[in-house]
Amino acid sequence: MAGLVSTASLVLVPSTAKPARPWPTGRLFPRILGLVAFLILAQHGVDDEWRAGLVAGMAVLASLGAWGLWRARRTILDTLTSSRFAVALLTTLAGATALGTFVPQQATDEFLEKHFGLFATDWIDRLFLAEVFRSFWFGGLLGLLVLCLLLAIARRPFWRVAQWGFLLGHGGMAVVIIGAAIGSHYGVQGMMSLHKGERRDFMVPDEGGGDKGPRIQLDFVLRLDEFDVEKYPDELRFALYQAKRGVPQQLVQVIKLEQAKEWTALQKSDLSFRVHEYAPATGASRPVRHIITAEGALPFEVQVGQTYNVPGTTRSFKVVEFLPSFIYDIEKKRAASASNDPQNPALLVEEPGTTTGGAPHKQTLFAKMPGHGQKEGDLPLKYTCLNPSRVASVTLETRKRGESEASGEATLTAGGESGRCRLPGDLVLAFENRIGEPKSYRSQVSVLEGGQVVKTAAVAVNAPLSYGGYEFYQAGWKNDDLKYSGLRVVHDPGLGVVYAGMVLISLGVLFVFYVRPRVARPG
Amino acid sequence: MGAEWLAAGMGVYALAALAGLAGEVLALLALFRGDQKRTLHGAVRRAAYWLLLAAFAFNALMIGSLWYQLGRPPFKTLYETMLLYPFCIALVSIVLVRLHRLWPLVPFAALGALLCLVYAWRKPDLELVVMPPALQSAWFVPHVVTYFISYAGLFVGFALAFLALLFSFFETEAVRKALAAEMPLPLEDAAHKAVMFGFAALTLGLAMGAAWGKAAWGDYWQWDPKENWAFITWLAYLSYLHLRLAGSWRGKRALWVNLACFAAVIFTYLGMNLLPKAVSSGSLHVYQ
Repeated sequence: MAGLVSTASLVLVPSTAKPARPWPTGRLFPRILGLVAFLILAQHGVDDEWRAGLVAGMAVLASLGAWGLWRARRTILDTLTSSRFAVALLTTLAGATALGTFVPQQATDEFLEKHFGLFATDWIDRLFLAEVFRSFWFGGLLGLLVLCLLLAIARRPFWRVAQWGFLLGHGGMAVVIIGAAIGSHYGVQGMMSLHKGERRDFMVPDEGGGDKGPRIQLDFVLRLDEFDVEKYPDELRFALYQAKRGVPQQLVQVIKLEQAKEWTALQKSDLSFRVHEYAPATGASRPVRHIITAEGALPFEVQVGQTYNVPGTTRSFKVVEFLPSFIYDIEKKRAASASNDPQNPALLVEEPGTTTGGAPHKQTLFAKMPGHGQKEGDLPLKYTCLNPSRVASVTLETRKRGESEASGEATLTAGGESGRCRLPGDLVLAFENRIGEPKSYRSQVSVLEGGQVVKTAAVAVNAPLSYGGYEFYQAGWKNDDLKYSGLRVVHDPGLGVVYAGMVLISLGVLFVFYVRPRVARPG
Repeated sequence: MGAEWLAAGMGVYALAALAGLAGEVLALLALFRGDQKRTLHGAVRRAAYWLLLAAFAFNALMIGSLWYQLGRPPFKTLYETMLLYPFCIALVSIVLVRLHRLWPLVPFAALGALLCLVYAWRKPDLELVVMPPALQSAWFVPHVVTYFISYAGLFVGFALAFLALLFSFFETEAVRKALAAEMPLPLEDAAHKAVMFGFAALTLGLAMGAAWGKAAWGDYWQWDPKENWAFITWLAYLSYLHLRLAGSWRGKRALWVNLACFAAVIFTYLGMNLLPKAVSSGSLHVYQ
């Protein structure tokens, strides 16, 4: 009892006497890192059952160490409440946080091995560096910080106005960490997935299993009445990419369709281009157009029955037949079309001067399966069936800088391979229909209790619903299922504590910087 | 907004930087000669100050014009913040020069602002970027502006600490007296005050960000790399303040710590794309 009283007096009364047995106040970092090492081993002991013996051994060591700590309690308290220790601890925390950014968090071992190698991955696992912020040792550092803050506050004469800034700031920091710990331990986060008209009275927690179970039952029911997504308008544009062997890598220039109706210089190139003809997607029925792309050349339009040269080669081809919906007729043993609707467009071409079994060598180009069925020696062509009623298309003219006449032409359809043309300098000019990004998504929900609607609300990003101790946030939606809404559900009993702590820290900082210098010190 | 606007802005900042530098060189020459008259370097310094004011006003116009063009606050992309940051640097510097006659700050502020505009000129946005739902919040402007005001304060602290260190290598009693007559507030103390201001704004910015994250995503802290580095920056300056206020660190070692802490600001602002990530989904804190 006397020992406890003397310890309490050490905490509450600033020490002015010399410590009975000096505890080295230098080498603060090694001592903090020693605590970190202890906690890493402790976590291994807890996680790996066969290391229970290690935990038992550490408990014995900790007990033995506790005796030494008790004897040096005065000096330890002075150290823990010193500004030097504060700086050492803050620096260690900063370093630990930085580690958590250089090592991808929650990364799989496969990812880590691929990027860091086997040896580094081993040590990342041993030191819990891929889960820094959930590790014992990081939590231990935060716990030590709270302890130091509370001890420092307890040793200050809080009745003096000049100390209020210190108390607010340091107290606020302790309150934030305590609030976060409360939320982490007693709070829950998860998801609720709903389709329009569906009701849910449970959420699926992020960390399922254990005492939280696979589902968490709610005391009320949530019904999704309506879900709508508002998007920014689609935009047709030209995008110039720096490519690598024809594959676009980096966006270099963006030109709007309207701007491209005048001659526009292309960056990193001596070419200019302009839109010669533009056919918007109309939805009305119009004849399809056949676009052929050869390696290293601009796409060009072809007609059935005509013969064309393959750019860059001495070969040529004749367009024999167009099959809007390609099928293989087994009975007649030939290609045919199932209908006039271009569901699976294919172009039959033949190469004059070549024969297969006595007949001109034929080749089938599939719009939806480029390269399908191609054999060695076949013409290196890709086919696009342009259905003008469904996509926009443009015909471009190009010219070199300094020239007045157009020297090249290309037909592009919005999106996909047929929307791109390769230019000298490994550049790719693409005609794109940039799909509008989501502007907002909103779930209209009703809360039901006892079968009765007690509340209706619109849940949107930055506008959550708060009910029954839970908050519901608009978190997800599906492009291919616009009746689906994903709501994030959160219950955080520590939130108010965290907010209070943040307010205290802010007030404390302002007080220390701007009020305290103006407060007259007694005497 | 066209490149010509940027070029004009860079031009005015460059003039302010040159005039400021000329003013300081003339002041140093007068100092070493023991010349008590202030007519020439005083006039050049005032001209530099007015040029900085003009550059600040033009910067404000650029931001206003971009705001009108985009139909939203222009603070989302790196390019847009590279117009906001020089605005904030100029604002904080103008106030400090006015209050404490910190004339050597003018060329530094103008140079810092110029570097930002040069970056923006070299890497402009290729197209107008729309705002995703999470950024459509009343917190957007206060959070971003508070942060950039804090970054400006910390930059000014960095600049003044650099100057203080520079002068410390040539310091004699006569120089110290002459500097004290020129600037009532010693450079080291001015650097500290700037850091205090920047840190206070950083604290408020962090708190706002947490509140906004809670409203948007349901979590006030997600250990996102940008949040982590904002926290590291806060811890770094907190350590500096502990060393100076409670640890009584003064002089060169405190100034070196001040300089080192600014590296955290730069990394937090510009370094996020350098960090590896296991998940390919984009973060709202990473400039795309």
